Amino acid sequence: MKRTSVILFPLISFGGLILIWQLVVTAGVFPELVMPAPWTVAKTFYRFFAGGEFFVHLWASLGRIFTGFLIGAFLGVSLGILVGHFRLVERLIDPLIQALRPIPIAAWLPLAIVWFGIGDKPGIFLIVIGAFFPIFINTVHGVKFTQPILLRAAHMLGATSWRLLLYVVLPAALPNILTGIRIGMGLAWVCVVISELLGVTAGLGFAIWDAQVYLHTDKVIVGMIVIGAMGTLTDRILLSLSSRWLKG
Amino acid sequence: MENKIFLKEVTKVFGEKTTALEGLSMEVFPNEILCLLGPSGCGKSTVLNLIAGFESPTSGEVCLEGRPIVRPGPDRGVIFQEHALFPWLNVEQNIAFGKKLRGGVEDEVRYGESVKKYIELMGLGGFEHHYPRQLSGGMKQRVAIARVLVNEPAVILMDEPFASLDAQTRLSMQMFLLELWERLRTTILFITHDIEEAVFLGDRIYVMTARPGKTKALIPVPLERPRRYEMVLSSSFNETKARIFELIKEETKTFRN
Repeated sequence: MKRTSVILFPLISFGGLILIWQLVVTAGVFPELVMPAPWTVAKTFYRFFAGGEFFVHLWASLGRIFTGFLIGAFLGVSLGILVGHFRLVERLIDPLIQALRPIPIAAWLPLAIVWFGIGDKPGIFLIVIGAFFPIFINTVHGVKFTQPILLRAAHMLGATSWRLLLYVVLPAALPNILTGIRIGMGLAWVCVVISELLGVTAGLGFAIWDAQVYLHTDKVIVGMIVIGAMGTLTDRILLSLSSRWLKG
Repeated sequence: MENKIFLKEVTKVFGEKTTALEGLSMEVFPNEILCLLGPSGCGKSTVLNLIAGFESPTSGEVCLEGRPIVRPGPDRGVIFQEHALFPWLNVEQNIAFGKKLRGGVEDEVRYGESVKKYIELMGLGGFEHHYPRQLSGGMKQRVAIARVLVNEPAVILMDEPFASLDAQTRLSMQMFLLELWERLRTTILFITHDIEEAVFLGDRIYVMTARPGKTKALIPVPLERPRRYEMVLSSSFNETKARIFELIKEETKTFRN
């Protein structure tokens, strides 16, 4: 019963959506150019893959995501540990970070382009910012809620300050850090799509902005599906990695 | 006799008003089990935290082997009431973790052998790769004991280590600790609110006053070593227990008024 419902129920909802979509197209509510039929999208999807175009865009986006994400995660985790652990650092840095945090990521794009010109850099910059905040905030939270008794135990065993941070505070905060990393990766995908609006010639985001200019709505939808699927895939990978790390 | 731990006229004030300890003096001799007994809230744990170096006295002296204590260190192994093991490390890694935290200044081979030795001594053989959450309460405390013994501490400080265990496990841990002490003769400061536990384990017992805490009486335990379980039925055990009970009763009254 459980197995069938896992497969059957999503099949009903997905099938239902496609059916409604087809009915709207058949009824001619919108012109074909604006609202392509499911079958047209499916064919475009196939061409997108078979022609190799998909991989060019995918690699371009993934390259930016991983570069930006790694920088953002490194900054978020290391600053988060310092702010969470040292009261003095918190007083110094936290107000600044809290002031910058409410600025929407998209609002950074004009400045990013002015600073970094065209190419990969503005996008990477945007992703660094997008990934940084959730990772930073979750790391701070994890560090602050490290059981005080574990810190005492570590001091009692003779821990020096940086070893305390690396071997005790970091692993104790790891569950929260991994939550931040998953949220940060989600935002990295948002950032990559926004940044690829300008100044680049490849990328999944570029592909949909470009297709929209030529009113290739079918390709826009294909791009959206691919971006959604890739976002889900990276999240699942991070989830399985984190549950493996947290097993101990 | 040269003392191991020495507290002289120690006062500890928290914040502006809360005086936890006032003019407390006590000493712990080498190779003895000294119990510190008192009603809850009397500042027993504060005494331990001062010796461990987690806190510093407002005034007075706290010394280990004649030197003032300034910070925590592996020469004073602490067993907490909750096990305080690192949940992401298995039994073996928890026991060997001190070396890693100190930057591995000890001889690798000797330390490794020492870890193995204490795993055996604590009856943890076969559980090396278990994680703390997979162990019973008694086993967790045995890991915590192994974790400090491997660093060859000058003293072991135990803060109500068996208080959260069920009655049977508590008794078997008390027997276990006595056997261990017979073998190693490590100096132990044992904090408890359980009179029977103090009499059964201790060579001497400091009874504390209600807050602000200081030592009210020093009671030598007239039981021979090695201790056996039947001793709890002896008249000297029960007389000592009754004497301490009277002292504690006075304090709980003072505390209420």
